[in-house]
Amino acid sequence: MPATGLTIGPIANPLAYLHRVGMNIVLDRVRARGRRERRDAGYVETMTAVLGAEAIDDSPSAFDAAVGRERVARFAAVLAGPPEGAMRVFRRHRIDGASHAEIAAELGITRSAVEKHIAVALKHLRRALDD
Amino acid sequence: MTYARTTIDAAAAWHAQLESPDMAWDAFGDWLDADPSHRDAYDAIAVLDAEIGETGPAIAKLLPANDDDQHGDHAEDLTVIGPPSNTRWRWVGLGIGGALAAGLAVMVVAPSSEGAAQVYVTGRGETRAVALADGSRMQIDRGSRVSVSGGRAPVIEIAQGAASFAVRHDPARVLMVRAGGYEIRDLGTRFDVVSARGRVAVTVAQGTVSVTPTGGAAADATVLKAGQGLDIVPGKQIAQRRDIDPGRVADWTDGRLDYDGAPLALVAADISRYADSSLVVDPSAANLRFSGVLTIGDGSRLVDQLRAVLPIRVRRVDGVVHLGGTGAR
Repeated sequence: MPATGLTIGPIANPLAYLHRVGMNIVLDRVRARGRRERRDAGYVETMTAVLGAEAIDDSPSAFDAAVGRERVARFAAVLAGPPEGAMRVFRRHRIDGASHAEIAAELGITRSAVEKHIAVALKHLRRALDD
Repeated sequence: MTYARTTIDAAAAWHAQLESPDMAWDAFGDWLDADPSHRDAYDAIAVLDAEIGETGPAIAKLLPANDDDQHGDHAEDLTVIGPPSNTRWRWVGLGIGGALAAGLAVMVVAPSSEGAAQVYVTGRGETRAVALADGSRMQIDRGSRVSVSGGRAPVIEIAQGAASFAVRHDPARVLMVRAGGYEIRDLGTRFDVVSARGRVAVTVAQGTVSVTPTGGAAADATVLKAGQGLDIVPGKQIAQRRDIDPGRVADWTDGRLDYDGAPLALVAADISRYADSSLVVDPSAANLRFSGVLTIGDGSRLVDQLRAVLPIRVRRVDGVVHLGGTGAR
C-alpha cells in the first residue's frame, strides 16, 4: 500500500495503532487471568465487589501484596545487575520514562544502539524471571 | 515456559523497536505469523515490559541510590508519580443474605449521622468502593477527593476527580451529587460524574438524572437519560449534551478509557485526571480525534499511549504538557 495513498486522518500509523490496541487487550486478558487464577487457588480473602455482573473493585489481598512485593524486589535486583549498560538504558526508559531519542542524546549513542540495549535488557529480564 | 533463545532474542529486538519511526511493521507481522511460538514469545516479552512499567515507581524505590541523578532535569515529567497510598481499604467479607446482597463485599459504610461529612481521598493508583447509608453504591476513581454527608439522604460532593454511582430505587429520597457548582439528582440509576480542571461531565448508563446549577430553579434542570452525557464548563457556563455509549459509562472502573472518535481535548481532559501535569492541547492538534482504548495504570503512560498512535508532539513547558500536531502531511 503506497504511503501517499493513505488518507490523512488522526491515525498516523494504522499498524502501530492496531498493535497498541491489540496489546492493551492482551495485557488486560493476562491480568484478568492472573487475578482469576489466584482467586481460584483460594488465596484471595474477599476482594471483589460486584455491581450487577461487573466486578467493580479488585484490591489486592495480603497475599497478592506479598507476591507483588517479592516480584518488584526481583525486578529491582535484576535491573540493578548486569549487563550494566543495557540495564541502565532500560531503567532510563522504563522507570524514568525517557524516550529513546532522549536517551540517545544523553548518552551520545544512536537510537538504534538504544534499541539494542533495551532488547538485551528485556532478554535478560525474561531469562532471570523465567525460572 | 521456555522458548528457543533465538526466539526470545528476536521478540525482544522487535519489541525494542516499537518506538522507532522506522519500525518495519510488515516484517514484524510476517515474523509473528511465521511460527506460533513467535507470538507467545513476543507476548511474554511485552507483558513483562508492561509489568515493569506499571510497577516502575515501586521498583525505583528499591533501586540502589539513584544513579541517574545527573539527569534529574529530565525526570521532571509525567513519569514522576507519588507512591500509591498505603491506606488501601480492606474488604470485609459479608455473609450472603438475600438477592440484593449477593456478590457484594461491603467494606465501609459511610456515616449515617446527619451533618458529619466523611472525606475520601484516593491515590494515583487506587479506586475505592463505598456503600452509602441509603444502600446506594459509589465507586471513586483514582486521584479523587469526594465527601459524603447527609446520612440516609446522601449528599456527595466531588471536589476533584470522578465517581460513579449505582443508586437503589427509592422514591422517598433523592441522592444528590455536587460538582463544580452543579447539582446532579437522581432516582435509581447508574451514572458517572467527573469534576476536574474546570470541567464537569455527567454520563448516564441507566435511568434518568437531572442537572442544575447549584441554587438553580427546577425549571433550569437539564434532564439526561441513559445513553446521554453532558459536558459542562462551569467557568463559561457552557453545557453541551451528547450521545454516549451506555456501555462505556465509567469505563475507568475497569482500568480503561474507551473512545470512539473523541476530540483530543476530551481525551486530554480525561488524561489530566490521572497524570501529574496539566495537559494542554495546542491549536495545531485541536482537530485531531481519537478512537481506541487507553489503559490507565498509574496514569504515567497515558500520554505515551496516545503518542504511539496519534501524530502529536509532546512538549513540557513549566510543568504543563502541551500536545501539538506534528504537521505531518
